[in-house]
Amino acid sequence: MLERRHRLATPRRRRYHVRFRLDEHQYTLPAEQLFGVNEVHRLTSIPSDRPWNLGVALFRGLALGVLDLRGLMNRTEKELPETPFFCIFCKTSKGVLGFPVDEIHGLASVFDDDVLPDGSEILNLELLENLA
Amino acid sequence: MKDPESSRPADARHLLVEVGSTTYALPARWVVHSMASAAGLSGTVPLRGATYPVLDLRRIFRLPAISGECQAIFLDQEGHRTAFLVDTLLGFEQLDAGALLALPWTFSGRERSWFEALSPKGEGFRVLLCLRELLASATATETNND
Repeated sequence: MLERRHRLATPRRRRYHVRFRLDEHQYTLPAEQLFGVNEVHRLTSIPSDRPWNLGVALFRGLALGVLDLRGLMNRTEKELPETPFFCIFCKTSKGVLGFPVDEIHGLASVFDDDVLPDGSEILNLELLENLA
Repeated sequence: MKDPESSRPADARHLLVEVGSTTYALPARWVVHSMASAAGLSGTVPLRGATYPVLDLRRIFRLPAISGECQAIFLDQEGHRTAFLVDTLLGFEQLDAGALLALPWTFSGRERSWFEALSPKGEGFRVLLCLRELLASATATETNND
């Protein structure tokens, strides 16, 4: 009952999310954390201790690290994407990072406490930046 | 007439080499000599009365070994000598020191000390090597392997 009263008293917050697909999984990312989307034509491979570091891409005059989300989620071995590929660049507290995606579906307007009807998962950027 | 090359800072002139699919840059003032070599060469190589320990960049960067011929670059940084094995020699180039970019924060492992900066070229980058750190890292690896 108390919880219901609290929910009624607190205005629900609606936010825009970027929806994208990686393999058979759908994800969303809060739009305010989006830095940009770009078609990457050249990825410079740089040796790294971390196997999910794919390389560096030039975007808006910046050298930005591109990570392999599949590798971070322990789903597959590191695989360099064929260029060109779509890349989402997002803002984290440590800086901007990018990751290749298969498809970008656009923006969805959702309430914070909503579960997206297609079962999309909200990408945990905090977890991502800690792993990176 | 003054040679425009001579008025540029000595540090800006680099030797570009290729290892794997990536182009690396080495400060030209440390380059003593280069020659074709057999891939997989190890140990030390004598040159002009000095001894150069061989460091295979493919091995340090954990890239698959290649067979056939590669290039050995003899370097001397204030008495620290080494011969780097690289895939291809691309030639000397003046890099724009003002356009150099830092390595992204996502590269936070040992590689952070190996690479000094990135020099943009088109949509890609040339990676500036940090010789001293690479030498130290390679020596540590060799010691651990022994």
